[in-house]
Amino acid sequence: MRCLLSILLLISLLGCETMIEIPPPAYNPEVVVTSHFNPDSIWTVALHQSSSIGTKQDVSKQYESDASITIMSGTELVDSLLYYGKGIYKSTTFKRPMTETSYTLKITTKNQITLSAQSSAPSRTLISDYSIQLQDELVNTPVGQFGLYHLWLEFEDVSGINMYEIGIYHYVPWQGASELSSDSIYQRLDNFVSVGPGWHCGFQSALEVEAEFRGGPGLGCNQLVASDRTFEERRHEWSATLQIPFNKSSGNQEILLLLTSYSTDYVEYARTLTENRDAGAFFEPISVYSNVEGGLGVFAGYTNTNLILPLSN
Amino acid sequence: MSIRHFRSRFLFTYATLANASLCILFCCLISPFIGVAVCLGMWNPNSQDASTNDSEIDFRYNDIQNTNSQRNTVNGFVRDLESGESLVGVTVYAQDYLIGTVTNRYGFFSLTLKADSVLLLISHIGYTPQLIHANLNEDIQLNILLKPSVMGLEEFEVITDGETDVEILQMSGVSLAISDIKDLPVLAGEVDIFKTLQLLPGVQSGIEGTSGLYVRGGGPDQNLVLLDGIPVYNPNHLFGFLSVFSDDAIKDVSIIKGGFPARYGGRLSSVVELTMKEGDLHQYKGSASAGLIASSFTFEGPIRKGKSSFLVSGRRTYIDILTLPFQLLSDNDDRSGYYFYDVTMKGNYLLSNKDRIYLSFYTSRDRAYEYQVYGSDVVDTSVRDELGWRNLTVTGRWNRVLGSKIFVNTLLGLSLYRSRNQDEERNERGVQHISFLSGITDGIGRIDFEYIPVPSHHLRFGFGTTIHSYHTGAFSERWSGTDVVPFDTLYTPDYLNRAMEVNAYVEDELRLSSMLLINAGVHASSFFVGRHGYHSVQPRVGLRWRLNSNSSLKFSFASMKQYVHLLATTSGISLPLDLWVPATTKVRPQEAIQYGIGLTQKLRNGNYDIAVEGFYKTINNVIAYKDGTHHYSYTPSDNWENRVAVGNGLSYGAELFVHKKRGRITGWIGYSLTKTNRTFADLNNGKSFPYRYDRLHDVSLAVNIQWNESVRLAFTWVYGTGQAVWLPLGQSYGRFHRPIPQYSNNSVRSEVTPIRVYGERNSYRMPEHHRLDIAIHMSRKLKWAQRRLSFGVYNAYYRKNAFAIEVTQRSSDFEEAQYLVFNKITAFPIIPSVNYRLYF
Repeated sequence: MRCLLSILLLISLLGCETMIEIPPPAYNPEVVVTSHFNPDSIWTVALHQSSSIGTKQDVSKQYESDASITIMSGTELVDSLLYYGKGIYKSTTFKRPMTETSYTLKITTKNQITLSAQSSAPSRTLISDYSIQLQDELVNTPVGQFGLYHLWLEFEDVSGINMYEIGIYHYVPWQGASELSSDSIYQRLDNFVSVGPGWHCGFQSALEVEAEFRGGPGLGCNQLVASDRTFEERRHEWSATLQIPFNKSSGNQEILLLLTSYSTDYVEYARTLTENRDAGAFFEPISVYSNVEGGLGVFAGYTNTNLILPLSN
Repeated sequence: MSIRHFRSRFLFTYATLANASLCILFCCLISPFIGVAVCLGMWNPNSQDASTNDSEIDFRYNDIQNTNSQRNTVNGFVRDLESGESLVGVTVYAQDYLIGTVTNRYGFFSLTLKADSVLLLISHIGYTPQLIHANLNEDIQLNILLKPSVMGLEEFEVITDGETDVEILQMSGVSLAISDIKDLPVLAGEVDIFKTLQLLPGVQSGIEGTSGLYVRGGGPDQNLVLLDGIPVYNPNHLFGFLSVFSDDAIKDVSIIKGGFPARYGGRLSSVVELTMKEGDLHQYKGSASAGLIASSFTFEGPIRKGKSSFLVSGRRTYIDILTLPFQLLSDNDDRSGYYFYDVTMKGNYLLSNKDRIYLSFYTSRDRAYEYQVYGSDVVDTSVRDELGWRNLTVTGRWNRVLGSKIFVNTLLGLSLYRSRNQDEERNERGVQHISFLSGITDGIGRIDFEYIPVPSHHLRFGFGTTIHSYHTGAFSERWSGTDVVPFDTLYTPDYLNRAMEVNAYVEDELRLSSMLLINAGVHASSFFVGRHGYHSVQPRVGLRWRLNSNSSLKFSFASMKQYVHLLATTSGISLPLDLWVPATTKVRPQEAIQYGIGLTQKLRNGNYDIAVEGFYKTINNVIAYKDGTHHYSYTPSDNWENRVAVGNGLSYGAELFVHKKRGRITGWIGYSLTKTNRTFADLNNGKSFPYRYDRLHDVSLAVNIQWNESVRLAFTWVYGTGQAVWLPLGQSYGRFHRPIPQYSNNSVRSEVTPIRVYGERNSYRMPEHHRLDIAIHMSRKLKWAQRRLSFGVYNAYYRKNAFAIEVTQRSSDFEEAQYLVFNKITAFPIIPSVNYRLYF
């Protein structure tokens, strides 16, 4: 009996999961468009084909070549794009998009599939005032030492539905970093306390939540976003306490503040793309937003406003 | 007095008044319906229906009903002769009048008959029937003791004239003997009440191996699981692979899938009632068992012989102990483990022939933990992660018999469910502690009356109040230490929601003729949350038309309301991340309307009961996470209400149930043909899609064979259509084109991101599944105890059923050729089990 029990116990413990590859369901590939534009860029469109799961090829290399691509503004032809290889089509005229102008992207593939999409870039945001002051030289936390700075700025919202993102990047002079990061001169700051009402962490929250953003140290928020519903067409003040990593060997330091205004197409696309990528086992899946008729992907505009702020020691 | 205090007092007063008002309202509403005379016991049915055999029954039935002669009542309790346990569902039958009744959940019966000498047949499956002569010159009380029919260790059935499924009115309901549940083979040899319920038609399991109940297209939150009358919110151990109730402590189990009587409320899809054993009134006895993953014990006996008794039962797994040696042999200090336990205690005291009080206590806990230590050049840090949940119920009950015809059950109880996930990082600088806590606490008060004026009426009415505290996810972070800025924040200050629910009901089981039996009633409830109140009146009707002595036709209608929702993860297993949330102003209560029709046939002298049923159920205001969301997120400002979509459900189908209750071979065959859809305006572009547990075909076979006096065999076989799951069908890639200067020198660079292209929701079907489980139980009498040795095999023919479908990327480097593949994960190969049990 003892022997039998031992064998049973052993067999039970050996029971474990196995994985068996099974054929995926049928799927019809579609043409995927990726085109983001802003007033500082030229027209660029990337085209590729989606593929069925189980297609044992690199999906990022399923380029769609020999397509005819035009940019229209109303009935006026703005630009025609030429194929540059690897699925990329670019402007030959080096014309740049204008803000607040509705553009239509028209594509005809070599298989005579027609696709179209519409979007515009928002107007540039005016930062009317700003300041940055050292609050406290060093603060100890379980994850290291930081200098605390108080950043304040004021910008003017324009009419319409606007979605803003503030990104703060810390300039770190390169002093013998590894080979791979030798050109890494700006570090994105994720740990800061934002006190502006209406600001949220990520597009999802900004789009849905009425509550104020309740910040806190260690949030790890890498996408501070606000919709303008709380300050529609008014000046908006925003401030934050920045935790700048302390580095004894650092010389003069500065931060880059990037205030980006997005079209709603971009916001929906970026939100769903993030969630499609990051969805874990306990998250509902999500389809990536598309404003392309006849295919998948996005054609969306955005506008950047940059500000470089030196840090006092 | 603060405004807040004032508001809460006002709310409480209002709720109390509403409760009382509802009771009065019901009495007024229901009285015309069933007639004042009914309540007074003066009902005078005038049956005209008769056919051959039944005409005689009708005559006698009318004879006793129409006579003006004096009638008296025989009432009392039926108990087990050996243990003194109250027996539920015992038939007390007056053979001369061809009428009878059955004992209620507390073993009470009341039968009013013509003042005469009467011969009562007392019968119950598993017990020797008893004939009792009673002289009904006056009201009398009989406390009847039934002797178990014992064969070896097992309860052995005898053929009696007890009430069969053809006679009873309740459709879509099944009661199971705990002995049958103990015999059926289960995963790892651990007896599991819920897994046995899954074998019934209309009750579907979730993913393989789990104990979740999905009844007629409903969700796991739509089951009212009552343990001694108190709801249990998370009846799962081991992430849902085992239910929390120990078979040693449970006396009987029943499930109702439709045609809910008015006394039940608060859930849409099923009522699962579990009654704890009371404890032996006469002798001390116990049992102990050891299995592959857990051991248990039960001990019971009299506190004062014949007057009071107790029962204590406990179970604990030793998964953590079994894995510990392997961890000790490893090179690092990392430790992880998992354990669960549950403890059941019950005591009761017979105050008098008419009064009995009970006190029961139940608690269960699951805990998974992991300790890690990692070092850097600067400091060593230890990390401790924990995931756990627990249930607690406490019930005090007072049973009283008022006069000879009224039974009163007064209940006060507490139900608590908590789940917690916490991470703690500790080093010489300080401690960082992050936790996520959710749960629900219910304080419950209820009083139920049963009034049986004449055998043709069984009037039930009652009212109750539940005070709910919902912890909808308290997410907090704390820093402390000598060299750290102190920090203590609760990111979700609105996590606590208080609500009050009041309800009242009245129902009458009314025998209009020997053919026609009706249960009509109404359940009403109000729910107060924040400043908002929801009110509902839910009519219920059940009807049984006896076609002949062997068959009957049944119909039911039930309107149900549920004020609580469960936000479950998409994983399909039970996790502490599942969140119980109340109905709010934004998210309304769930509602369901269910129609049922069925035909019940008795075959071979009642050895077989065959039931064919059809149902049609609509559900409103079910919730589901929106695409891409989940509550367990570190986004602090978000609220669960913003993450859910509200929609409707539809479920319809047919079920076949062939049940053999008596004889050497017992068991059943169940088959369900069901279609279940969900429709949400915000999901799947507003189009209907199959519910995840929509299962067109579901077959189950459960057989128990008494081989000889000491050997019992059992096997189960199940077959089901594969689950509907939402999986990507295609793949592409996208780009973020926002500036990412982190790894570039003032340049703008795109991030390339793989995309999974999804089709319609739940458009992919997992492969169909089937499985055979076998068990053999061998009993032997030892000098001082009785032994039962059980061997089992789960998945006997090694069917590689899909536990889940996983989409995996075959290359981690996006620059190289990479692609996605579908993998079927099978979690359960052939799994043998052994269990050793001693009864002493």
